Amino acid sequence: MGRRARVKKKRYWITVYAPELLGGLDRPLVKVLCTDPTDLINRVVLVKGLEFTRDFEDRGMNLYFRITKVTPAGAFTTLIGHDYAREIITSKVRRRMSRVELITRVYTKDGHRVKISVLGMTAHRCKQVHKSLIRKIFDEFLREKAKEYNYEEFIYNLAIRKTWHAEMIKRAGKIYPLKEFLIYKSRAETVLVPADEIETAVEGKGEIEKRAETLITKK
Amino acid sequence: MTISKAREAEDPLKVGIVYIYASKNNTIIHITDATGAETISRKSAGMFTDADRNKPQPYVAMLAARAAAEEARAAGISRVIVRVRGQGGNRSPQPNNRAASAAIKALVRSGLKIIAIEDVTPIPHDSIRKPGGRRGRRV
Repeated sequence: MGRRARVKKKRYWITVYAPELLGGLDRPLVKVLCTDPTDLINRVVLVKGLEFTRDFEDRGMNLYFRITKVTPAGAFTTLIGHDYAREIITSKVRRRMSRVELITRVYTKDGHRVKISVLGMTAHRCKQVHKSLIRKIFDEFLREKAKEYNYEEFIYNLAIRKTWHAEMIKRAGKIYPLKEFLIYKSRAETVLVPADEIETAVEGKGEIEKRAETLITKK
Repeated sequence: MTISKAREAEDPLKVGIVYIYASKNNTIIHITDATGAETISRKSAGMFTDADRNKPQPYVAMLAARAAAEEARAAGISRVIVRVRGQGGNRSPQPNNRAASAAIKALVRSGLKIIAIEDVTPIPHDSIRKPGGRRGRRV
């Protein structure tokens, strides 16, 4: 057995920016590493909800951003979804309540498919028929709203702004009053840079490598 | 350089993710960048002890975490998200908390700022029957 050669690995720190909708170049999210800028395309960056919104209500939330473009200025992303930590979801579930859960896929205005998971807790234990009706209301509502927005705006309203929470609780309340309500997961399933477009998604590769801060580690 | 001056020089955008796998036989600490795709440091408790029986011990987990944190600090990481997991599946639904908490303490003492701690043990919605049979494993 020969000794493994100690090769030094050179990597670049690239700044990742929020999508245009959420601030763009004014809103750097994190810095990420890469050996080659083309590797960055399609990678998903995890950002904590509390870090992003500075709202304590979002403490258990994770936001996911997919890198779609890399330029000498930095890497540009798109919002592809969110989810909540397990303890946040389990803390909503109590005795003597009914758990109404809907997992559905909706199509947005730009034709992307978004998977949404909704959790509602009724004030008291309810009948199965109530649950089915509430699920149906949620499903129809989300389907209707998805048609009006593109996937990024839709997830932004769903996860960060929580635009339709009050409306959904109100509509479900006509069947059975809800005590807890949470859209605990969303994911744009069809947002991906195709393999043949990855090369074109990186602009000025030489410039990126020249400008970026480097990190040299032993392989 | 004093600690406060070192803090000033740090880049708050260099966020890492620390994956702590605390099973009942070993503890693995893996520090990556925010995408989880680029490894910055990876250490296991087994690298810091000769006796296999010591691998799940908190002290050894602490040594591993400290070594990993030092490498991460050298790479410029200042803030981390901690994601702890146990074995999961139909075995232990919880991480080895003694080892995991020792590792997290060591990360803090090494100067890393912790943004959040999350339990990400893989819990099946459905699974096969736990081995051992109806009356448990008979040794």
